[in-house]
Amino acid sequence: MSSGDQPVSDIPVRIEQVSKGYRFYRQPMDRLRELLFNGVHHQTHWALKDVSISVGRGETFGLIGENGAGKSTLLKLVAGTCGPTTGTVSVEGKVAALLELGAGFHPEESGRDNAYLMGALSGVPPSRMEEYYRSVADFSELSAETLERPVKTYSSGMFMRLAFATATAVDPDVLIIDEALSVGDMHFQKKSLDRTMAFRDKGRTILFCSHNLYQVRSLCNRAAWIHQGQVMAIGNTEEVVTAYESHEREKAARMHVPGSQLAFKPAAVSSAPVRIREVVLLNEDNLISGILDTFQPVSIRVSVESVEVGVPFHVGIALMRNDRENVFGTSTHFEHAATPLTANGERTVELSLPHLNLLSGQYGVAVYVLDDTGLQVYDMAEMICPFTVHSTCREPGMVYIPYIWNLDH
Amino acid sequence: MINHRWLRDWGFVFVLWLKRDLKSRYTGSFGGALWGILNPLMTVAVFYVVFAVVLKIRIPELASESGYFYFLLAGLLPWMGISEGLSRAVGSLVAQEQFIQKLVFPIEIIPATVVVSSFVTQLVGLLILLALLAAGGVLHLSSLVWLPFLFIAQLILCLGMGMLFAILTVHVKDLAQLVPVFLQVFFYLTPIIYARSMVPAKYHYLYAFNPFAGLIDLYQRVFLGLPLNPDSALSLAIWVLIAGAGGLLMFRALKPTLGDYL
Repeated sequence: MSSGDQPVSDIPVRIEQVSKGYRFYRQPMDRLRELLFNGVHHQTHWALKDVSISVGRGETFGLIGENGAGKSTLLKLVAGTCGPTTGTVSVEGKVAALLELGAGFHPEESGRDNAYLMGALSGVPPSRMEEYYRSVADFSELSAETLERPVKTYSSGMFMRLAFATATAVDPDVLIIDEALSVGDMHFQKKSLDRTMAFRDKGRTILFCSHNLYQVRSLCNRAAWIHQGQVMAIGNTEEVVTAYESHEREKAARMHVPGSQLAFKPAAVSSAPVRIREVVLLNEDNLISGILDTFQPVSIRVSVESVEVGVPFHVGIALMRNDRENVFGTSTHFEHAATPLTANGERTVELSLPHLNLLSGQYGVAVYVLDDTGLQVYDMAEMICPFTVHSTCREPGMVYIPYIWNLDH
Repeated sequence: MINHRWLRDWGFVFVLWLKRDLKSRYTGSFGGALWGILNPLMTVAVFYVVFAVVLKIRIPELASESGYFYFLLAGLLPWMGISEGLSRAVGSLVAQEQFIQKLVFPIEIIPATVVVSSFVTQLVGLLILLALLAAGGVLHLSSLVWLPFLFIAQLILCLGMGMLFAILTVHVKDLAQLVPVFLQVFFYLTPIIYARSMVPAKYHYLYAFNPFAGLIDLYQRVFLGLPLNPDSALSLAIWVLIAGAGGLLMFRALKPTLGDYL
């Protein structure tokens, strides 16, 4: 499949009308029956259907799509660890695949011995092994003493550093990266990314598969979106990623049935003097919404009720990310400490945010009903009204903070 | 596809892998590599007590009292190399699934290292046997010239069968259970703890169907300085051809789809 003797063309990776089916047998006997006699005793799952992709020399090609869309199968075909059912895959030059870092490392063996075997398996001849090993040792930043220890004594960060170094120290013509750039600490992530960029700048061909759309956008010049085994979009990275993002948004919108879980109603009635009855998140059209864009105006409407008439209280509202990280919170007693609200039966409080400054992610609302001092919590509900924010700007992070670049110094 | 560079590069991988296999089998235990020698010696000791001391078996061709001891070692050491290599080869591909799914290399290396690594342990045992024979004054130097041929024959036989078992096990998992039983049966069907001459002559033709009988018989004769048996040599040659070619062809045929089934 891959060979160094072929004439060098400008398209080192050529996938033509490739389909890949995996066979499933209901019982092991069926497989044996099929092996020995003719007949069909299996069901086929098509991981890829009629996929054609060509990657030119020096291109950094991104692969995006949902889990199970067939991206990994595609990478395996290019790496050569499995063959297509129909169609042809041709790859020119030396291929290095970062399919799973550290696969094949033996825990009892030293880092050095593991690196040697990995190098040999990747085609480093004995004469160049010392050179290869030096480059691995340098890049992994592991001390000579550490490299002589069994890898089972390594921390996961050290292990990943060694694994990344062994896989990339071979200077491949085609580099396949599957979600591998998020290893180790920040310093090492930067080094890995730098090494990948260096490959790109040397004119090597890179196949990059990631869920990190920001990295895909900034690294790749072309991309393909794989959906249920088929190419949904291929071409310019920005267009493909945007198409994928809008598909994801629509899918999320279908999953959020308005009014069901978006409006929060407590299941059990608390015995607090003032308690939460309902919380809803509204967009600028006063509609309950679970999908919002950055900078969209939103409001949070809280309905409370009191058992007695004239009970003083305050309301606190916070926005939380789905990992319960508190993004921002405010309360009525910050501004109106002296004059608490009073509830006579039912009462509604609304918090308006003219610009929702959140960036892409999953968030929720937290509501607290406090006493007139703002110290005692009467009733609370956290991570309610879940909503998804789609960023309309390029900046990464959780919150958009207005800024100005001063570049004239 | 197979040229000088291919052999050098993958030969290097093979040697590294073999080292790893030998090391990993004994590191971590107190006895270390010593177990590679102690294990067969203890087995031999048990068989010697049961068959020579309790059951008083004597090998007709060998006059001396200690004859059975040497006979036992000459057959049992190669057998242990064979059976250990084959029983470890059976599950070797399934066990190294990680490698096969993620890296591209001639996967023949995996069952091959297992077979060769068992053979290396066997060689150490055979060195001890030679020392014992020399100490007992019954070392027949002239017949030892045949040993390299037997080694080559054994390696081809076991590599072929090992690769066949290993790749079939990926498809038919039951082989992992079946092969040890198969080896157990052949251990008793092959004249190892008893001599071929103790079996009625009318059954001797059946040994042609036993892939190991010829090889073991020749090992025993070479070490004990007995004249070689042309029937054994012929059956061994045929089995080497069948297992070597069959194993390699079957492996090549099933290899392309291997990744899908692991």
